[in-house]
Amino acid sequence: MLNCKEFTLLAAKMEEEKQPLSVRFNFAFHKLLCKSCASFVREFKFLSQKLKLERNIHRLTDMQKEKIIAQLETASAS
Amino acid sequence: MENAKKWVEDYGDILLSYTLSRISNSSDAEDLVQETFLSAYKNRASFKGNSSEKTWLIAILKNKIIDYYRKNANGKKEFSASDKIEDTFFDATGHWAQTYNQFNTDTDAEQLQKELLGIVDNCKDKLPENFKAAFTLKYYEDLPAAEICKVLGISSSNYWVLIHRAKLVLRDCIDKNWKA
Repeated sequence: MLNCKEFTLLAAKMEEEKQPLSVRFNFAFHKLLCKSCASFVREFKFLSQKLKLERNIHRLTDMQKEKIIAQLETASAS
Repeated sequence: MENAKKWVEDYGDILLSYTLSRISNSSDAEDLVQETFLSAYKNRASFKGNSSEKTWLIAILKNKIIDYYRKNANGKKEFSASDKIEDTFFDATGHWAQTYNQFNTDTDAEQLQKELLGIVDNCKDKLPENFKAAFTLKYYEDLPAAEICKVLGISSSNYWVLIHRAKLVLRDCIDKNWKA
């Protein structure tokens, strides 16, 4: 049976690669018995959905904006 | 150029926020936003309007961020076998060494989610560079493992170890900072 260290390593692979049936069975069995590892999987599933969301929390300063606009104007003139 | 001001006003903050959630160095982030606008301007004829201008600009920026990680990964050592970070989290039998405090994933409350994501962003920024690169490209940019290995110039087995360690360290940081 998998231990928690092996399970959490496998968890990342399971997000992307289809594993053999025996591996999936061991994974599911461990997850059923271990609340901590089940939480670990649930938490990263949640994060993988949320981390891609747009976060409009930073603002360019007026000086930064002017610098970019000036560069674009230079590019347009050349 | 009449569009320049409007572009920067409309999309500057969006592009900066996108970049800063993926790259912690604010000066590099500003440079990438600037380069994105310049590339978009030079290639504006290729914009066919099949997607929104914002989607197009973010696609350009996304490639620049991947290039940024590619350049920064060049020549860096991956990690040594003695970097046994896992031993901090697991006991000799491979089970969790400490009580696992799960965090609440059932919340739909926007404010709580925002706070949590802020904590995750901060925790991610504290990761070692190679952990941060792998984690960002996987969880923020949604790149497949094979692509990330190419970008970072690492083997598949090293990649899984990096992601595993990044998740453990990040999870620990969230646990220490998130109290909901």
